[in-house]
Formats: sequence, C-alpha cells, structure tokens
Amino acid sequence: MTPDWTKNLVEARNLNIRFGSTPVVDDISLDLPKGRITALVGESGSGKSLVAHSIAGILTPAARLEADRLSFAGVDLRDTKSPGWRDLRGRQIAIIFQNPRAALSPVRRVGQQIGDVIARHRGLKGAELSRAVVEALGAVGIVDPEARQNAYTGELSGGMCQRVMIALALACNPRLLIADEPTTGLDNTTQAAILDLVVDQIRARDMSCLLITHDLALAREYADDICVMHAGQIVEKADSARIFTASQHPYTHALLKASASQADSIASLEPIKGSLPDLNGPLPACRFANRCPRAEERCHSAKPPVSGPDTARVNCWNPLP
Amino acid sequence: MAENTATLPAVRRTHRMPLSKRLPLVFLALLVFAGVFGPLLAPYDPTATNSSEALSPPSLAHWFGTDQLGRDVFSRTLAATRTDLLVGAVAVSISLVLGTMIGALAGWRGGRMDVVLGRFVDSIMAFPLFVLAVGIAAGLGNSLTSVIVATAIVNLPFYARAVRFEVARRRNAGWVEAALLARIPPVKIVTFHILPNLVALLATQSSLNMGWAILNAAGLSFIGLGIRPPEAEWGIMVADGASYIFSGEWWVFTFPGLALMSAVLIFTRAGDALRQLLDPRSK
Amino acid sequence: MRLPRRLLSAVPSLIGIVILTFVLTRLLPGDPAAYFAGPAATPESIEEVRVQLGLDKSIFAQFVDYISALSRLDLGRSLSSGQTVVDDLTARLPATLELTVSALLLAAILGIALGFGAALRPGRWPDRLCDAVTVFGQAMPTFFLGLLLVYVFYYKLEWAPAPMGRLEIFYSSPTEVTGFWTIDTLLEGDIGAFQGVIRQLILPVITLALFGLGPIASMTRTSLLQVLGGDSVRTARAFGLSSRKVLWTYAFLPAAVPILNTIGMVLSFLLGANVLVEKVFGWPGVGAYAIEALLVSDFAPVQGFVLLMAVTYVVVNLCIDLLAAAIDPRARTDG
Ligand SMILES: Nc1ncnc2c1ncn2[C@@H]1O[C@H](COP(=O)(O)OP(=O)(O)OP(=O)(O)O)[C@@H](O)[C@H]1O
Ligand SMILES: [Mg+2]
Repeated sequence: MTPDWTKNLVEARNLNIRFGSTPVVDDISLDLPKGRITALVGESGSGKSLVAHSIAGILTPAARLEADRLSFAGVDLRDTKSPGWRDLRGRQIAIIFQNPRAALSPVRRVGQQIGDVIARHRGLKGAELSRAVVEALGAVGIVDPEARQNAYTGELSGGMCQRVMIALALACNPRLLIADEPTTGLDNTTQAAILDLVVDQIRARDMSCLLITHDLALAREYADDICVMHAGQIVEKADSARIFTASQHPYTHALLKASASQADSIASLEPIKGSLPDLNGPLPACRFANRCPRAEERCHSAKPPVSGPDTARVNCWNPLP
Repeated sequence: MAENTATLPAVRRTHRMPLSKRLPLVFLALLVFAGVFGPLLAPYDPTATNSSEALSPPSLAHWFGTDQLGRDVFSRTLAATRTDLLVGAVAVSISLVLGTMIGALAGWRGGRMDVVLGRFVDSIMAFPLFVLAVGIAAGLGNSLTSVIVATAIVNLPFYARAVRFEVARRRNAGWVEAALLARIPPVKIVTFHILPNLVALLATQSSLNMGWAILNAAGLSFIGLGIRPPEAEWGIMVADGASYIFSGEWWVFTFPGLALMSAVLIFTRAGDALRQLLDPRSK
Repeated sequence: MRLPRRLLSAVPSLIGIVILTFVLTRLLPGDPAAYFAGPAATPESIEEVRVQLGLDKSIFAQFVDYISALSRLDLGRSLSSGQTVVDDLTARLPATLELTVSALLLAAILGIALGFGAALRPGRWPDRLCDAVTVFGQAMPTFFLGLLLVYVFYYKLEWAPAPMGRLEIFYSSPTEVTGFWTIDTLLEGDIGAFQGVIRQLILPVITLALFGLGPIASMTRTSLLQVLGGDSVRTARAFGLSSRKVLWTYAFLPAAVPILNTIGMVLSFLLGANVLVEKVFGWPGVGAYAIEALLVSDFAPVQGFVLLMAVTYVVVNLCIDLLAAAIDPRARTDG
C-alpha cells in the first residue's frame, strides 16, 4: 500500500496493548495531524512509551497489540512485517529516545550508523553517502562534522549523543518524528538546546512530531496540542493553551494544581491523591475513578464518553465546567 | 511493592523446588552412598582375578562384563567411586581452605599483601590448568599425593578470588570498624562474622569444583600419574580398557567412563541446584 | 601507540609463569640431583649431576642460571631422546598446533552458530541443544569421548582410520614447510595425502571441539540475548535496517568481545585436554612427548612443555585482546 499524504499522519482507533492478561494501554484513540507538534503527557508508567513504540513498530514481542485502526498516512501499521511498512520506518517515521547513548551502537562510528540508515532508504553510496552523512550531522549543529562522524558514542557527551540521534532521525527527512522524553537525563541548558533544535528542525521541514514528556511546562512551551494520559487511558486532548486555561478533566486539573504550587514538572509534584492503579487487579472503567474527587457510580461501571470539539476533547462522565 | 514481589516467590521456591531441580541433589546423595558403601555392595572382590573368565561381555553374572584379568567391571566401577570421590573431596577441601585463607588475607590486609597474593593467583590462572596440574604432579613425583596437591592448586584461584572480593567488600563496613574498636581480633572478625556470609557461595563453588577436580584427577591417572593399576579408579580403568577397543571389548572402558561422566555431571548439576536453593535470587 | 602498552600487560603473567615453572623443579621431594640422575645412578654420578645442573649453588644463583638459560632458549636436554628439549618441542609443536587450532576453529564456528540459534529462538530446540551441549561438554571426560569415537567410527563402522598419528604409513609424509600437514600436503599437490591427513584429524578434532563447544555456545547465547534486548538493536530496527544488517552489525559485533574472551578461555581447556587426546589418538605432539618423558622421570621436557603451553596461552590471549580492541572501542580503554 502506498502512503496517502492527504490523510492524518497517524490514526489510532481503540488501541489496546496488553502483557499477558494485563491491559496496559486501554482503548485509546489518537490522531496526529500534519504539521503539528503533539505532546503526550502522563505520569511514569502511564503507557506513553508503549504508544510511541506501537507507532514506530518496535513493541517488545511480549506485548500484544489490538486496534480497530492503526495507520500512518493510510498504511496499516499493525502488520509490521509487510514490506511497505518496513520502507516507512526510518524513512517517514523516525524516533529518538530517552537514553541516546544506549540507543546508538557502541561499536560503530556514529557516521557509519547514520550512513547505514541513509544507504538503506536513500540508496546513496560512496562519496555521495559520506557527503550526506556530514550534511546530516551539520544540520543538527554539530561543529566539525567531518571529524565527529568518526567518533564512537563512548567518546561523546550525552547531549552530543542526542544530537547524533536527532541527525540519524532526520537524515531521511521523515514526515513524523517521535521524541520519547528526549531530554530526560540531560542538564537544563542542554535540555533547552536540544528541544529548540528539535522544534526548529520540525518547523523548518514541515514535519509532525509526537513529543513524549512528563513535564507539563515543557509541553506547553513546545507543543501545539497536548494529550494527557493516565494509567493507559487518554483523558484529555486540547490545544496547549487551553489545557492550562480551561482543563476539563479532573486528572489534568489535579496535575495543574499540584504543579502550580510546587515546580513545573510532574516528576516533582506533590502526589495526587492515591497512586496509579494496579493494572493487574480489577480496574474501574475510568481508571482515575478511585483517585477522583468528582467520581460517581457510573465512572466505575461504564467507559466515560468522549465529548467536546477536536480542539478540546475530554473523556469524562463529569468534566469540569 | 517491589520488595513484596521480590521476596514472595523466592521464599516459596526455596521450600518447594520442582522435582527436576531437586533431582541432582537426590542423585548426589546416591553417589555419596555408593562412595561410602560401594566396596561393601560390590558383588565381587574388585581386585580378584579370574583368568578363565577374562574379557567376558556383560551378562547376568557380570553386569558390566569382566576385564583382561577376569575382574568384575561392575564391582571395580563401584569400588572406584570411593577412590575418585575421596581424591576429589580431599583436593577440594585443600583448595577451599587454602584459597579461603589466601583470599581472606589479601582482602583484609589489602595493599602490598593483596598485590603479591593476587599476582600469585593470577600466575596460576596464566597456565592452561590441566597443563599446570601435569607439571605440578610431575614436579612432586609420581604419587597419589601429587595428583591431589596438583588438583588442589589449580582449583585454588576460584576460592581465593571469590573470598578476596567478599572480604574486601565487607572490610570497611560500619560494623567491622565497630568490632575493631571493640578490640575484637581481626582473625575472629573474619572467621566468625565475615566468612559465615560466604557459606552459600563456597558450598556452591565446592560442588561445581568437585566435578572439575574428579575430572582433573581422573585425567592425570589416565595418563599414568598417581594412582597405580591394581587399585580401582575410573581414569585408570578407562586407560586399561583402551587397549581392548581394537578387539571390540567395549565394556572394559565404557562403564568406568560412563561412571566418571555421571559423577561429574551430578556434581555440576547439584552445584547449580544448590545455588538456586541457597540463593533464590540468582536465576 | 596502544600496542606497546598491551604487550607490557602480558609481562606480569610471563614473569609469574617463569617463577612458577622454576618452583616446579624445586618441588621434587628428596634430592633433585638423584631424581635427575635417574634410578640407576651411583653416588658419584649423582654428585656429577648436581654440579652439572648447578644444584650445589644457592637457590637464588640457581634462579639466575635458570633465567639466563631461558634467555638463551635453553630448556635443557631430554634424557630419553638425547636431544635438546627446544629441538624436541619445535619438532612436535606443529602437530599439536594443527590439532588445537583446527579444534578451536571448529568449536568457535559451531559454538557461535549454536549460540545464535539459541538466542534467536529462546526456549526452542536450538536453545535446548545449546543447554545440553554445555552440560555434557562440561561433564564428558575428553579421553573417554575420544575412545568412544574411536570405538564407534574406527572399530564398529570402519569409517575412520586407525587412531595412530597424523598420517597412515602408506602415505609419505610431506616435507614440512608450515608444519601444518593439511597445508604442506596441498603445497606439494598431493591430494591423496591431504585427504589422509584430514581423515586422521577428524576424530581428535571433533573430540576436542565438543569439549570446547559448550562455553562458546552459551556465552554467545547470553551475550547476544543481552544485546538483542537492548536499545541499540531496537533503534536499528526502528530505522528499518534489514534483519541481516541488524543481526550482524548491530547485534553480533557488540556481543563479540565476551565471546572472544570465552574462546581464549576455551583455548586454555584445549591445550590441557590436548595432552589426553594426543595420548588417545597416538598424536605425535608436545603433549604426548611430555607424558612419555614424565613416565620415565625425565623432567626437563615436562618443564619445557609446561612453559611452552603457558606462553602459547598468554600470547594467544594477547592476540585476542588486540582483536577485541579492534572490534570494540569499549575494549580499548581498560586494561
Ligand atoms: N515488557 C513488559 N512487561 C510487562 N509490563 C510492561 C512491559 N513493558 C512495560 N510494561 C508496563 O507498561 C506500563 C507502561 O509502560 P511505559 O514504558 O509505556 O510507561 P511510560 O509512560 O513511558 O513511563 P516512563 O515515563 O517511565 O517512561 C508500565 O506500567 C509497565 O508496567
Ligand atoms: Mg517511557
């Protein structure tokens, strides 16, 4: 199947991911439109990476994925073995990870690794290939890319590794970049530099981006839309401004209230009442029900309805006005 | 939460190991039984020759057949269990004691003592171990003692290294400092307070090493070192039987060889089982 | 640049080896001179031997003698052959090396293949086979395995030639160029003799290789599984690289160093097991030579043999270190 670029880049409908009998990701639906940066926010363990991996086609074999629809520009992503899909990964969908040093191979020069990907998707060889590699490294602001391409990850700093990773991801001009907490573990200055770089590149190349973070402030600063996850469910999705001014879901509300008093990141929040539910035990229909001050009987028994326009959608029986 | 899940299944596993995991320990008990009572259980005198029945194949009267002198191979194989286990056990005990002493000394004193002892142990490891065993056994003269000492020395590094590491790790613990301040002599601290923590480790290592030691000793006697012929020993019996391969008398070398293999197998498997039993966290 | 430092790192091992082999000769209980003079010696001849061997000097002086002899490559003389030990060992070393190297290669190839299979299909039959080979390889006495193979393939099936040396007598042995008869026969263009050499090699090589297979297979499995489950392989897959590229470049290369180190360790096993296998197969190598000397209390050859094997082991491990550093930059910094 050939990609149809008139459609949404990613369309997921009723996506479920389970490990054995544990339903980790529960029935989420998510569209990634063209040219926008969508942030996926949620506590650690809420399933953000799993969603990212299912789009990038790198779910661990232990995970079982079911979905009514999971497509990229009309190409079905559920059949990860199909040749059409394999041509997309790295070419149209690229991903960068939290720990860039581990994500790159320690025994191959960084230039070679980028070269492998370019050779695979753009079919370049010899001098053309090396020129493209140097170009890719230069594009992410690496000084002296000619020399740096010969380095191993062990010889580079964490921030530099992430730049290499970004160069690798952008080397084939993909339409979608998935960034899974790309700056966790980097110091603050580097963090900002890396995110600025990613966002600049995305805007310049007219790409889309799924930016995963647990930092609401970061999401507000860099993303167009914010999508909030709790325990494997999407609870709310809205423009980033609206999330902060008019959040409708009690969970989002709690997140914001807690973060306003303390710091800007979810990681350093005063704990919201209760903790993430144990996914192995019996779960209420809305997984926030046991922690929710506005919970009602039906929150436990029936899936919350989806309401609101595309720019302010909430999954809740009893949303805030 | 993490703690609960980590300890719960572990405790259960200690008490109810699946049979397949305990099987090596059962076999180990049988093997030791054969070692202790083997010579008594043997249907024939293991050294009694009977030339009229020489080289007869396995039969009801002689389960494993007879050798070139008409001796019953089954009785000899059984009787040899004691010799081989004894050689292995003595050798392993020596390496255990010496290795522990060296390791404890190096780990406790540190500094130059550590360097010198470490170099010594490294030097042993720089040899292909069986070759070194041949050299030591040759240097000590051709006797059973040499075989035992040679086997002990080549196994020594495993204990020395493990003990050195553990002692050095605990050397600076708060309670050790406190004990030193309370004027408890270091020998006591090491012997009664540090080494007991290593019992599981050393027991596991010893069982694994027993297999190795037996193999080593049998190899040495196979090439003619140590134990002398009329004595029943698996390595020698295999060496004796080797000449009869060319006339098709396979049973003379096969049964002692199988016994040797099974013994080694049992010790190494039992070592693994023991590790799981004593340290449930390791996979 | 880095090379000299690597070479230096082998020096302590070599010093240890030299000291230990010297100590070996001093272990002899009773009077070493009497021992070296042989069982039929008179008191005068014993005294003569004592002076001749320098055993009348102090231990330190003896050690200096030993070192200076070593530096002249003088390992003494074999009482039984009458030749210098160095000559004897040089003549026999190629036979041993041909056997060991072939076995090590076979063990490495089979072991890596098996480990690969096990890592790619955990829990399935290659994994089981890998387990079984490891467990039995560990427990199987090499000399017994060799004899079993001889019984089955020589006596019963008559597929293999008699276990007596490197070539059956009706072939003429090749003129030694490399000392590896497989190569020398080919250099002479004697295909018949080449096949004969191969036929003689097969059983001892299999015996040794089965012995060394287990550790290599299980290390390949462990190391590969670890890399396969890691982030860098995930990245390579996420970027659509072909499974071949992923497997070899992104999984096997980073897994290679522990495998190489295991191969080095297996070499140590093989050099030891060689002694036994050479005896079983009548192989005219240094191991068989040492045993013969040993049994007639001819000590110099044994000492020379132990020294030679230890040095071989150290040198090969040095090469393995260098190879590891060439493959994996992480192996360059430490050590
Ligand atoms: N291999 C696995 N087996 C079983 N459960 C798993 C596995 N991988 C992930 N999970 C479960 O899936 C849940 C979601 O994991 P995921 O990595 O997507 O979280 P996340 O939102 O990315 O968190 P973080 O912010 O820590 O990266 C976790 O609670 C974890 O328990
Ligand atoms: Mg994550």
